[in-house]
Amino acid sequence: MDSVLSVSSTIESRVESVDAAEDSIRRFAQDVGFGESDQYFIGLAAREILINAVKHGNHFDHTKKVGIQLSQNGDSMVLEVNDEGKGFQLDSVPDPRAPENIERRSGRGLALALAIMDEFYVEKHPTGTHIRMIKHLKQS
Amino acid sequence: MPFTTNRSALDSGVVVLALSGTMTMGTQLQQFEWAVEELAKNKQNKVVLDMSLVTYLDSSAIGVLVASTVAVRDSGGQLRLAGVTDRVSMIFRMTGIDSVLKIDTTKDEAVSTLTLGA
Repeated sequence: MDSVLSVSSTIESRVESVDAAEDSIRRFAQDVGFGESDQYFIGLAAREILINAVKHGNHFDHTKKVGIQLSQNGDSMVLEVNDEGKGFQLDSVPDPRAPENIERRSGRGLALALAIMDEFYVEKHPTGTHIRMIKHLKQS
Repeated sequence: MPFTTNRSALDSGVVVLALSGTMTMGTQLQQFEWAVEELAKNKQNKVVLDMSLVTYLDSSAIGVLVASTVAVRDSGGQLRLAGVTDRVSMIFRMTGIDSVLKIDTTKDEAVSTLTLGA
């Protein structure tokens, strides 16, 4: 099925920009048809990935941007985030739930996004990192 | 909703920090962490975080809660959370941090536990 909703934007590498983007993403999730609870958690997953893009990808460099693409694909919402960083391997990220990591003060953002979203993909491109997350509308 | 902290000290020596709003990366979260560190440094280390009005938190906030728990523990005391909402509880479970944090259903239970020295 063709996408019926699609939005693209870029944000600066600042936490304040992530706050505003998160609100927009929640509204998009609402437009796709997600209930309030899913909007809440989709917003959180998006926030975690955007913070990672700003902090770890772009190192808060104000000259670097984070790209966001939102689209609806049938009964699914697709969220894509691009940064200008060096990328990472999903399977090499430490598990924050492991006993040796459980009291660390950081490293949980990716785990949250993986727990919330139904599909999660990471790609490394010459210009940066591309993350694609998908959440499916659950039929009641 | 902005994140705020209101502090009260009970006769029992327990300090209750009533948190409110959204706990996310930023200045207010950092100030909260410093406040808990100060309590631990001053041996005011029976601390209850009343989370009943915290509607949302991100992984940065979880990191601060963990660091605060460890700081108070290392000072010989204990930090307990109370009144955690269902959604925040779900976020804790997603990260496995519910196994580290001391969580009570109500503020009174948390205060009682710390007062009795459990």
